Amino acid sequence: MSLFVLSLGFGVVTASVLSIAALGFTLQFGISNVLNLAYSSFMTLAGFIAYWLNTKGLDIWLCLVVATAATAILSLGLSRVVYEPFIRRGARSFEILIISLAVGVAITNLLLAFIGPSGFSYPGVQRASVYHFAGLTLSSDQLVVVAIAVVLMIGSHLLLTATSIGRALRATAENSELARACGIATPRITRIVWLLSGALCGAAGVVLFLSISSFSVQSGQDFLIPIVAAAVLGGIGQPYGAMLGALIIGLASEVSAAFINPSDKEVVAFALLVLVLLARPQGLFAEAARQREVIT
Amino acid sequence: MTDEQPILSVRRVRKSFGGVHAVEEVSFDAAPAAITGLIGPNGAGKSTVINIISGSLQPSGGSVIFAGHQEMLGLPPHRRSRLGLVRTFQRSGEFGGLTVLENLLVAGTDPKEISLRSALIMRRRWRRDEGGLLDRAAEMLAGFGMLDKANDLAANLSGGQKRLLELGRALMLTPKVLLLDEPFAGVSPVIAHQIEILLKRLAAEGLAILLVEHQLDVIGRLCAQVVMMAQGRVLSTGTMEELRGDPEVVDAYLAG
Amino acid sequence: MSSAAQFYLTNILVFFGVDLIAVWGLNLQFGVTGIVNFAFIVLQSAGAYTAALLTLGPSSGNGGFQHYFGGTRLPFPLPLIAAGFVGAILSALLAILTRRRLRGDYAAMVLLVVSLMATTIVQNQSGFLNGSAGLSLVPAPFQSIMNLTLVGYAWFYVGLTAVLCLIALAVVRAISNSPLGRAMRASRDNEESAAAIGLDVSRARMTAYVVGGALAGVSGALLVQYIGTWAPGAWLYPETFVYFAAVIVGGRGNVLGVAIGSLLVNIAIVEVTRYLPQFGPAGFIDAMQWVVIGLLIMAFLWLRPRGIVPERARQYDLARRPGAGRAASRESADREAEAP
Repeated sequence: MSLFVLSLGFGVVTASVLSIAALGFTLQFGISNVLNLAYSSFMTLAGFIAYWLNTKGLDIWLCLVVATAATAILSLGLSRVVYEPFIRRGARSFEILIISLAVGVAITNLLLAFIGPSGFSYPGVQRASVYHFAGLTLSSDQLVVVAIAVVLMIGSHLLLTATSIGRALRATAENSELARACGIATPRITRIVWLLSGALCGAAGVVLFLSISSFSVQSGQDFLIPIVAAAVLGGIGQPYGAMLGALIIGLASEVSAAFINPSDKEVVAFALLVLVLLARPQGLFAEAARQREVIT
Repeated sequence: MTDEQPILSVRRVRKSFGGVHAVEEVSFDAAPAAITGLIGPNGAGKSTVINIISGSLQPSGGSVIFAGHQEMLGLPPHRRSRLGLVRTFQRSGEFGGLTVLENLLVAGTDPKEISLRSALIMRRRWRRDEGGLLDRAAEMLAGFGMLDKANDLAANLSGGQKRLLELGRALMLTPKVLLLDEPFAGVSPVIAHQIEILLKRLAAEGLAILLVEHQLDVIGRLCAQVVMMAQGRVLSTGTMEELRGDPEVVDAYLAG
Repeated sequence: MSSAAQFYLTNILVFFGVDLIAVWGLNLQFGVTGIVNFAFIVLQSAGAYTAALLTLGPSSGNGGFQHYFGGTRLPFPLPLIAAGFVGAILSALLAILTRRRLRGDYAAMVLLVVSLMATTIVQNQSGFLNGSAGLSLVPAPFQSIMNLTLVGYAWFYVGLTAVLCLIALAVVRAISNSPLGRAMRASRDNEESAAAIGLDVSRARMTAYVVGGALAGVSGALLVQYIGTWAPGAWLYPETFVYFAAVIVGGRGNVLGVAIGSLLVNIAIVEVTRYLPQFGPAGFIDAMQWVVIGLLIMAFLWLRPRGIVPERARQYDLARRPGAGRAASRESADREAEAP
C-alpha cells in the first residue's frame, strides 16, 4: 500500500511536468494546425539555458524564468520564420511535420555537438529538504514543481475562460476548421499563443530537468512519448484534455512502474496511446465535429 | 415524368452533429433518364445529403436505396462508386501529379487489375486492356475539346478544364447515377454551356443525374423534377415553375 | 588496387546497395503512395534481427554471452526471405494501427512514437534481443564454405547485393508503372476523390506498406550479414530521417531520383565528413552531420520540393493509336456544332 502511495507521489510530479508540456504542445496544434515535433528539443534547450545561467551563479528559479522567456521568444521565431512561410506556400501537413522533425533533429544535434552526451545536474540546487506526509516522500524541489504546475494550470484556465485569446483557443478546440475559416486565428492571437505555448515549453523543460537526477541532451526527447500520449489521450488541440491526459498518463506510468520494471514507464504510456488510437483516436474530449480534424 | 422505378431513393434520412440537426427526415427519389435538381439556401443540408448518399458521411437514421433494392448504408464510398453511384465534388479533386489522361485511366481501370498480383505477374493482361481504355479516354477528351491537354499534368489545367476532367473521370466509371455537387460554380459560360449539353445528352442516354446547384436558370433548363431543401428538410418537390409559384419556397429561398 | 582500398570500395558498394533497396521501399510508401512512415527504420531493423536470429543458432552457443530468444541456423537464402516476411508483416501492423483514417501528419507522429518505443523496449528487455549491446558474430552466408580471401568474399557479397538490387528495382518499377501504381498515386494526390472513383485506398496503402516493409526487411538482412552486428544504436529514429532526406532530396516518386538522393545523402555526406579534419569536441562532426541533413531537408522542401530528379508522369502517344483520327475528327466536329 505504501508503495502505491509513494508512487502516487511520483506520479503527481510526473503529471505536473507533463501537464505543462502537453498543454503547450496541444495549444500549438490548436492555433496553427501544426504538430510541432521540435517541441521536445526546445524543452531540452530551455533546460540547458537554465543550466548555463545556473553555473554562472544565478538562482535556479530565476534561471527558470529567463529560460522560459527565452524559449517563448524562440518558439515565436520558429513559427514565424519556419512554419508560417511554408504554410503560406501551401505546404501539406506532412511536409510541415517533416520540417518540424528536421528542426528538432538539428537543434538536438547542435546541442549534442557543443555540449556532448554526458549527464548534468543543476549545480545550484540542493536536494536536502525532504518532506514526508500521508505516506508520500517528496523533496522541496519536487513540491515546487507541483506548485508551479498547479499555478500554470489555473492561470491557463483563467486565460481560456476570461480573455479573448482564451475564447479563440476554445473556438479552435471546438471546431478548428470553422474557427479558422471565421478568421479567429488572427496574426496577433497566433503570435501570442506561440509565445505562451513556448513559455510553457520552456518551463516544462527546466522543470523536467529539475525533477530527474541527471539530465542530458537526450532527456527532452525521451519525454516526447508521454507528451504525445497525453495530448492524444485528451484530444489533440483540447487544452483541458491535455491537462487530464497528463494526469492520467503521469499517474498510470508511475504507479504501474512501481509494480513492474521501472524502465517500462514509457511502455505504459505508449500502451495507453495505442489503446486510445485503436478505440477512440480523437481522444477523450473531442466532440463529434472535431472528429474531422484528425480523422479524415 | 417517367413511371419507371426510381433508381435512387433517399428514405427519411437524418443527420445530427452533437445536438445540431443538420438533416431531418429527408426523402426523395431520382428517376433514370432524368435530371433531378436539388436546390436550397446555404446551410439547407444539400451537401450533407450528397455526402450521405455517396457514403462519405454516416447518417443518424434512414436509408439510401440504389437500383430499386440495394441498401447503400454500410458500403464505403468506393464500393458505391463501383456499383454505379458516382459523385463529383464542389472543389475539383483532380489528381495533380498525374496527367489528364492518367486521371481518366485510373478511373476506368478494371478493379481486378489494380492489385499486386496484376502488377507483378499478370502484366500482359492489363497491358492488353490498356489499349481499349486509352481509346475511351481519348474519345472522352476529344468530346471536351481537351485532347491536346492529354499529357499535361492535371494540376496545370484551368479551373473550368479541371471541372470537365472531374466529370469525365466520373463518366469513365459508366455510372447509373451521377451526383453533381455544384458543377457550374465558377466556370466560364463557354464551359458551362458545354456541360449543359453533355448533361442533357447523358440523361437522354438513360443516366440518372442528381444536380445540386445555386444557379436556378440552369436548374430550370435541365431539371424535370426539383427538390427544394431548407433548414435540413425537404420543403417542396416539383417542376421549377411549380416551385416558383409556391409561396413557402419563395419565402425561404427565391426572394432576396 | 591495394587490399585496404578494395575493402573500402566494397564497403561503400554494399552499403549503397542496402540503402538503395531500403530507399526504394520508402519511396513506394512515401513517394508514390504518400505514407509518411516515420517508423521505417524499425522495419529494416526487424529484418536485420530476423536474419541474425536465423543464422546465429541458439543463444547458448558462442559462449552464451548474448541473450536472445529463439535462434537457429538456416541456410541462405532463407534468412533473407524470412526477413522480408517479417518486415512485411510488421509493416502491415503499422498500417492497421494508423488505419482509423487518421490524417497524414497525425499518423506519422504516431509512427514516430512507435519507433521511439521500439528502441526503448529492445534496449530495456535484455533477454529479447540482447538489449543495448545488440547481436554480434552474425555469420556471413557461404563464407565458411567458400575458399576465398576476405577481399574476395567482399566482392562476392557486392555481387550478391547487386543481384538483390536488381530484383528490388524490377519489383518497384513493375508496381510503379502498373495500374496499381497509378491508383497509389491517386490515393496520394487526393484521397477523397480516389474513393469517389472507386479506388480502394486502404488496400492500395496496405500494399505499399507491405511491399515497402518487405524491401526494408531484406535490406536489413543483407546489411547485418555483411557487418555481422546489429544493436539499437544503429536504428534510432533519426535513421528513418536520413532515408527521408534521400527521398526528398533525390526526387520522391522517381526511382532514379531517390537512388541519386541515396548516393548523396547516405553515402556522400558520410564519406565526405570522414575525411574532414576532426575539430571540436568528440562526436562534434557526427552530430553536425545531422544538423546538415536537417537543414538540407528544409532547404529542398523550400527551394525544390520535387527533388533533384522529379517524378515524371507517363506520356502516351495518342496520335499513333488507331482511334486517334476518329477522336480528333470528333473533336473538330463537336467544335463546329457548338459554334453559334
